[in-house]
Amino acid sequence: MEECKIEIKLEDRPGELSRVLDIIAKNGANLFSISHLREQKREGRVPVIIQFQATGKQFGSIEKSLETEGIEITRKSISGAVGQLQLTQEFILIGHVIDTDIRDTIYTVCDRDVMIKSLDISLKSLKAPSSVFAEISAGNAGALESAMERLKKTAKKKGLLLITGIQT
Amino acid sequence: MKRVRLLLFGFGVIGRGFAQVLLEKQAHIQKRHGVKIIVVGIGEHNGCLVDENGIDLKAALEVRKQGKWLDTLVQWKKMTSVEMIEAVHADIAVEVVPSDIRTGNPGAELIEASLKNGLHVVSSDKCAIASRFSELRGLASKKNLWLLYEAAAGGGMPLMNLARECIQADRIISMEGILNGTTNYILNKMSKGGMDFETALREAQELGYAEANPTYDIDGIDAAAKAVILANDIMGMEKKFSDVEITGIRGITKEAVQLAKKNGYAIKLIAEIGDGRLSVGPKLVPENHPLNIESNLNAVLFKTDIGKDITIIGRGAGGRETQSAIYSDILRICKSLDL
Repeated sequence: MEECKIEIKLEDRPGELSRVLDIIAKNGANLFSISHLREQKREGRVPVIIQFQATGKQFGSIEKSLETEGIEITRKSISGAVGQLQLTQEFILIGHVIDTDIRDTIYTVCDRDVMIKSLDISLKSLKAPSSVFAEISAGNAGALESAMERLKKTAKKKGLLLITGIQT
Repeated sequence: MKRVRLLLFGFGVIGRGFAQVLLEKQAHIQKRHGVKIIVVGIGEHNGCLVDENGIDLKAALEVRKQGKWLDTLVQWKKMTSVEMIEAVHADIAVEVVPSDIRTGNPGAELIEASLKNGLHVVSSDKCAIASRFSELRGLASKKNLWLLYEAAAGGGMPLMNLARECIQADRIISMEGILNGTTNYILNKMSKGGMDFETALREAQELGYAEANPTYDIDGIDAAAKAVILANDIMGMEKKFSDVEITGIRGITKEAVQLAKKNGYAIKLIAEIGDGRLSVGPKLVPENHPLNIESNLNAVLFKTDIGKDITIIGRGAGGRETQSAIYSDILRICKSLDL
């Protein structure tokens, strides 16, 4: 059993949370805690963090069921062995990301175990520094770590500022 | 009632804050702690104010309020601070001068001279403590004297006291946090106020959060010096300033901050201490993370093996707020003194 944590955004109306808790319970997971982040309510949706104990298989099934129900998991983490789960890492690159061949930079990260999940680019003007937000996922911690090391080296070589996520 | 004689080095923002708080809190300290604090000397860069019977702090503050220097007072002596340490009988030296991170001076020299002359030392001088940590701690230990510096890392936040007194059985696995309020203010303004870096920095300077030369803040030097102190004091590391991997916030654009925000993150200048490593640099912090704090606040998240996550949020700087830590150190020493 692993300690799992998910963050979801729920409509602020009665019954929404119980839908999610039903899914967690039906999959045999052991619920630890629920935190409503009401102060961060945006566009009628409240972030909710749920911590529970589950096997990797149960976690996968919970994810799938939530997806079916139209509930998006915005963040997730699991302690111990990773199993079938994907680890994710977000980062921002600042500088002349486009001019220094963004495709080459992105390919630095990708390999058999690592893929880009999303990419968001902010380009003020062709001459100004641009910013790229990306999320990558990897099948295991080692692959993720080496991908980030490769990215760090490439960013340094190209004079780009790399900002990664906080450790916790 | 214990009568504790004290030398104060520096009469800038922190030194004057010290005097002001003593005027306000003397009665409270006497009643609650049975200690009367008497400032018998104030050392400045060009001389010292000395009165063995106790300096009139109200008069000294008034002089500075009028834009004049302490040398206009009759107790002013043309002597160096080290000469004052040698000549004036005192129990504790309070060192609050701003020092250079490369040399640790003038603060480190004052701490060294105070310890060599048998004075306990309380310091808020991060550069002096960070640059000569092991040497000064070793000297204090050899002399069997206190050297306390709670105010040097985290200002008004009780970080070292917390680790020492409150989580004594825990093993502290890591610490991470915002140790510089100026950069937090700037990044917040770029995120919430949509300002560019230069405008946010200018506003921070106008409000007095950033110095005219903001290098120490925005290049991460201030946070790195504090990280060295916390790593060495709390986690028993033996790090030097040069061991810290530092990236400042100069290269961060408004567009990058907004892009992070759009994706549910804030960019913060974070000090990370753990796994034998020290770093200071901009990081993506999730919106709901305890370190996503507003304004010019500081915050530190301790990860421990028993208590798990413990977060302290507070004022990391300020002439008044820092006194909370300075007086805590002084009273700790006073309790141990046999006067």
